[in-house]
Amino acid sequence: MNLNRIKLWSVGGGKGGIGKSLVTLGLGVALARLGKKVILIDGDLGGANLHTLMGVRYPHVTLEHFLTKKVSRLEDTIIETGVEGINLICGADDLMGAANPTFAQKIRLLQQIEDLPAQYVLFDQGAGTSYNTLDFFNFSSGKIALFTSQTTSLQNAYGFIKSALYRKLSRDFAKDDEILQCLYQGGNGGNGNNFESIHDLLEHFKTVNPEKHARLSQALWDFHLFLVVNMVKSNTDLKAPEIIRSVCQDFLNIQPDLMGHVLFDPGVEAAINHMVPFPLHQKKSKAMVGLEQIALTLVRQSRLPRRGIHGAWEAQEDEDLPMETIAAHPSRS
Amino acid sequence: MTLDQFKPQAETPESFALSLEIADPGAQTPRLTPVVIRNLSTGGVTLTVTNPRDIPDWDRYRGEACVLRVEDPGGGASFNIRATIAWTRFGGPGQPPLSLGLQLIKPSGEVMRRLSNLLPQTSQDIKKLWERYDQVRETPEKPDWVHRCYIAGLGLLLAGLMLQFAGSPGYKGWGWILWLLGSLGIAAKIMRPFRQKQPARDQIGRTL
Repeated sequence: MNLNRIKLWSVGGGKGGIGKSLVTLGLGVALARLGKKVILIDGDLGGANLHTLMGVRYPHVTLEHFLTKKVSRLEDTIIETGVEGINLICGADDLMGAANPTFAQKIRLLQQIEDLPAQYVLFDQGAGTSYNTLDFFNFSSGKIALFTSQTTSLQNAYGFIKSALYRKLSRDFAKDDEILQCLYQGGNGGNGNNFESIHDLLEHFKTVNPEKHARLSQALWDFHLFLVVNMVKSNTDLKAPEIIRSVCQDFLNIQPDLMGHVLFDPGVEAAINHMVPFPLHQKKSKAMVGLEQIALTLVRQSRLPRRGIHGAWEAQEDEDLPMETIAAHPSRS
Repeated sequence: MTLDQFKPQAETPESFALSLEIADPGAQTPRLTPVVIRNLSTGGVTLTVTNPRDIPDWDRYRGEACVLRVEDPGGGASFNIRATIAWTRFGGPGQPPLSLGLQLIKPSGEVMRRLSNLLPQTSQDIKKLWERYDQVRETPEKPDWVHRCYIAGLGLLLAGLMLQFAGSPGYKGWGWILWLLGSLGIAAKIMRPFRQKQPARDQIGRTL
């Protein structure tokens, strides 16, 4: 059975300190507990610390070895961890050359990620909105935007999503000056148009150039995104994804899906200080309850077909999926 | 550079006339001066005074009550916002001659939305983000029944234990009941984080 599974999932969010590495780790452990083979990649090429959270003090091989061609295969940079089912590829640590990979280096890395011996690869993105981070995020079939309910995180998360989408569109339409001008200058190129949102842009091309409208709509559709809110302390915090969703819908014309939430767990800090993966430090971790739910959703979303832009089911593997799974998919409702 | 050379970056739309009415303890009538809105924060607004020389010694108005008047010459609804002057700051060359920070008194989400509409050069999506954020903050949170159960449970548990150990033999039965009910209330609080549906192996199997 040849299943078109989403293998690579990226966890990004723009702001530092919102728990991207911890959520990646916890999600990896949750998937491993479901019997999956998982590889975690620390995509922070300037300040890697996922290995520290995993309890690995001295990684003997990192992404830097691959990017600088000291090892030829990405697979050779995999490090075994103490958690069954989880392997790790460590990030580079402020070394010249690794923090700013060339486009060719990025392509080489991304191509080899697909060949890694795992069912799921979780890519922990670094903070910020550098082109590296945005490119790695956009390349991933599974995209998770992580944020907390803090005002700074909300603003950065939206900025991150917007930057990633604009980066994707500018790559997809690199040779189309008209669309690029409309995107980045709001259409003020002497034609009298003024676009405040991508919705305005779509409406413009709908009448002026239906072919471009179709291509743009498809590109937006391909940018499928999941939201996860971290460090939830109150019911009000649970409303944070709605803020992001509504702004994304109104101004970016994308409809991110809520994947779940992770409760604030004071035990996580103690685990970090003990250099023990936090899900192993406590028997019952409050944070892991949410992450186990998210892992389930991730497994389901990795396999489910998406309704196509014109309403038809996209994946040709529909027939291979149990009917109850498809029927239970939220997009059916 | 003279003060008059300053041109505010973000002008309030010309169709709206913004003025600040300041209570002056030494005068019978309040002072009125035209202002331009520069920025918004949560519950606060930054203004630029168009003609700061109209009023001498601005520093003495710090902490004074004022009213921000927004009038729409186009016939739209005008509105007044009560505030206090939180700070005053004279700018250097190339900066606004006088900036004022107002702390608005209990501004509603609608007031903040209308004020944000007076910032024409602000990115519309960021405006919407903060509007939605204000809406979420304004929505009253549902009462936390589990926490209330926990507090009641603690009370019942203590009362039950007291009855059981210090009460007369006839009340010991009641002590047990209170003790048990209290434990249930506390258990509800402890169990809440784990109330979310746990992943079941058979469910996983079905999705693979």
